[in-house]
Parts: sequence; structure tokens; C-alpha cells
Amino acid sequence: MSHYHIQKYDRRRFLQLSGLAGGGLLLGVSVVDTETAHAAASTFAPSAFLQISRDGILIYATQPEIGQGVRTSIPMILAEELDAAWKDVEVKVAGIDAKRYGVQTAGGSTATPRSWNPMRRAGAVARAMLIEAAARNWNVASTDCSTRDSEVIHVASGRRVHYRDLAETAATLPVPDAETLRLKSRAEYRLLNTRVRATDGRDLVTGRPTYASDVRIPGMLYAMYVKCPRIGGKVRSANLDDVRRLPGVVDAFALEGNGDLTELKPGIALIARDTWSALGARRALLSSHSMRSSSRKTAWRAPSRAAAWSCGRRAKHRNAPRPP
Amino acid sequence: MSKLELNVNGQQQTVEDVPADMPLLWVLRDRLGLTGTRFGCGLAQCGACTVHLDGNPVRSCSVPASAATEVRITTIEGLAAADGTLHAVQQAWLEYDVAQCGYCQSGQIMSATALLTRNAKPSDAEIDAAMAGNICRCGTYVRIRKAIHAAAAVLRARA
Repeated sequence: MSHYHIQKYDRRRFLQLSGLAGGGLLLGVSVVDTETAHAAASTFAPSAFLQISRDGILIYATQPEIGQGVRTSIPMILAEELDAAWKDVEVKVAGIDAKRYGVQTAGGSTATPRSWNPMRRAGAVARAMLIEAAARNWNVASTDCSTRDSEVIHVASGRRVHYRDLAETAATLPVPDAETLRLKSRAEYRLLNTRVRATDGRDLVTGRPTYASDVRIPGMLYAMYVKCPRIGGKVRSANLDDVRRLPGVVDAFALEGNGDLTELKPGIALIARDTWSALGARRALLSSHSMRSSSRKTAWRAPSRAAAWSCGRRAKHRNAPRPP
Repeated sequence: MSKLELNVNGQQQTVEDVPADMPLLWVLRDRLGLTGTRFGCGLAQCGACTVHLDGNPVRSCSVPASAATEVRITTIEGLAAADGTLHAVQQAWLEYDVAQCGYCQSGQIMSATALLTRNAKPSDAEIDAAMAGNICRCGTYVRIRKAIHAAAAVLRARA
């Protein structure tokens, strides 16, 4: 089990400010697990997950969405502390970039607890800078200002200004130490614990590309990979010539693997013009396979036309796994 | 390999070099780039790949594309109006936050819209029967049923 903790940073490491094209506020944060904290401290690269500009408030969803709702809920944590009106927030899915975003995983219910404090602090820091920007513009004390629904309010005069109109000024200000800022108490929450619609709801009901298998690149080919069914096994022979001749199949070749059984195992790669042709290649590759191992020395007793696997000592196990 | 003329979401499409046995699903996804129709089982058992042929819900993983040349094919991408106005079923799906992971929902929505063209006021039992071929591993069935009732009411009010 690996337990993730939020690394404490000094303010320069915790948040880094950079200029946006056209002027705006861009805040980065890094979340690392304790095992890599030391290395991360010397090679710190901030992520960019909040942008405020004249165009509006943009929060990047950095954690993988697999139905648990983090594309919506984690940006909400930041928006809460930022005191942004949720209707003003646009959520964009961030790319995979461990250097920019830190750990990006879904599993073991870790994404939300891992994100909780960094998101709150980032929201609070941005809010403090926006208040400071408004106070300077108005020539009043920042302590006389408050926020609500994406606006800074001068309490005494009732003057208001939207965050997007403060982004340019805020981007020029020093970043306050997150540790000095008071985070909201639970009783002060206006957004969290309310029901909002999933940010990706419209994409899901209109069939927009959403999943890894929806990625399309011009000219791309489709591949299937048939792994050796035995750990430690390798490809001994395969009817690759027959497979290559199938309609729609572009190539078929054996790979040794990279030696790491948690990564690329030895097997046969099938490359085709479309998924259907790749599936056909896979069927042809495996069709003449014996479904049962009767030999103690070879995992697969395979006629010459089909793929055969050489599996060494591990093949001695009586309960041979069935072919894929 | 043959050349197919297909009518997809109101547009005439020519697809070259289609293997005779290639299911419609793969023509949609891999040749036409319409990836909203999803591959689940490839056996017509899960419903994720449901599309309409002349308004009837079919499992596109198990219909050869060559059998769909004389019909109007509608996919999830073609359900909303040209101006982006969502179908009442899509709108209800949003209002009831039906989707969890969402992978099966294109197929669910296609089955639901087909049901409502045949039956303007389906009962719970009729909904369950019509949607029985669409499996959702997240278990969103209760919300699906609510959203279908809501969409049915909207469509009846318009009629």
C-alpha cells in the first residue's frame, strides 16, 4: 500500500505565478507522494491548474475521471475556497503530465483526499491576491474587502469587481504564504455539499470523444497485442505470414518484451487498418490453438499454423491457464 | 472488400474497402470517426453499441455494415438538433445526472429514444423490458427509469 501525503512547501515552492498571454493570473501547485518528496523538492515543476483572465475562471481537472465524479468535485474544492460562483467556472481536463500535476491516479479512493488541501490552499491564495488587487485599485485596506460569487466587495461602500477584471493586476502581486491564510470553516461552505451537474454531462449524452479508445489521429492504425499466456514465456513460432495476408491487416510481428513483466510482456503485435481487422487477425492467430495443455514441458501444444509459446519451467504447473 | 454508401445522421457517406463481415460499429468508429457509439462486448449482449436503423434500435457490433446501406442510420451524435438543442431524452439524462462513468450511456439513450417513439407513456415494467438489453455496470438503472419518465412527459406535452 502506498500512502500519499501532501508535502509542505514554502510559499515559493507551493505556488508559482506566471504571466498569461494577454494578462491574467495563473497559479500552480504541486502534490507529491512522500517517497519522492525529496527529489521533487529540488526539481520542482509547478502545475497550472487555475487560470483567471478576462475570459473567465478556468480550473483544470487533473485527476482521472472513471465515474467517481472527480472531474467535477475536485475543481469544486478550489472554487469553494476561491469563492467563485460555480456558473462562472469552466473545467477543462488536463493532460497527463506528472511533472506539472504530480500524482495523477484513480484508485483506492485517494484522488480526493490527496487533492483536498492543495485545492483549498490554491483557492485561498488566489482569493487573497484578488482581494489585494481590488484593494489597491480602490486604494482601500484589503482587510475591508470580502468576496462572494466571483467578486471582490468593498464592504463599507458596497463596490464590487469581478475576478476576471482583477486578473491582470493580481498577476503582478507577490504570492502570499498559504500557511498564513485562513481557510473556510465547514459552516462557511456555499458550494461544497450542494448538488451540481457533472461538468462532462453534456459530452456524455452527445457522444463526444471521452474515453481513451475514442482517440483518433489522422492515418492512425489499430493494434492488438496477444501476450504469451504464461509468465516468463516467449513466442516460439507463429503463423504470422498467414495473419499478414488477411484483409485489412498491415503487419504482425513478435516482440520479446522489455524484460519487465509489469510492462511489456513477450507476445505478438497485430497491426490493422481498423479494430475489426485486428480482431480477425487475433482470431486467426489463435484459432488452431489446442485449448488444453497435455504436455508438462510445453504450455501450448499448438499446430504449426498457430502461435506457439515456449514457456520454460513454469509450464510444469498442472493447472495451465487457458489461452486468451 | 466493398465500397459502401451509408446514410449516417442525415449525411450520405462513402466508405471504401469494407470487409464483407465488418460490423457497422467499426465502420462508424474507425472509418467515420463517430466514436460516440461504444464497443462493449461485441456479442450484442450489452447494448453499448446501440444505434437506430430507420428508428429501430439495433446492436451495431452485430450488424454487418453491408446490411445497413438502404436505411437511415442514426447515432448518438445525430440525436440532437442541428442547432445543438438536445433531444428530450438527452436533456432528461442531464437533469437527472444519469451518467456515472458514462460508457454505456450512448446506447442507453439510443434505446430510450427508440422506446419513446413507440410508446409515449411507458410504465416501469415497459421501460425495464425495453431497456433490458442495455447493461450499466455503474448501476444507473433507477435514474435511467426516472429520466425516461421525465423525457416522456416532456415529449407528450409537446405533442
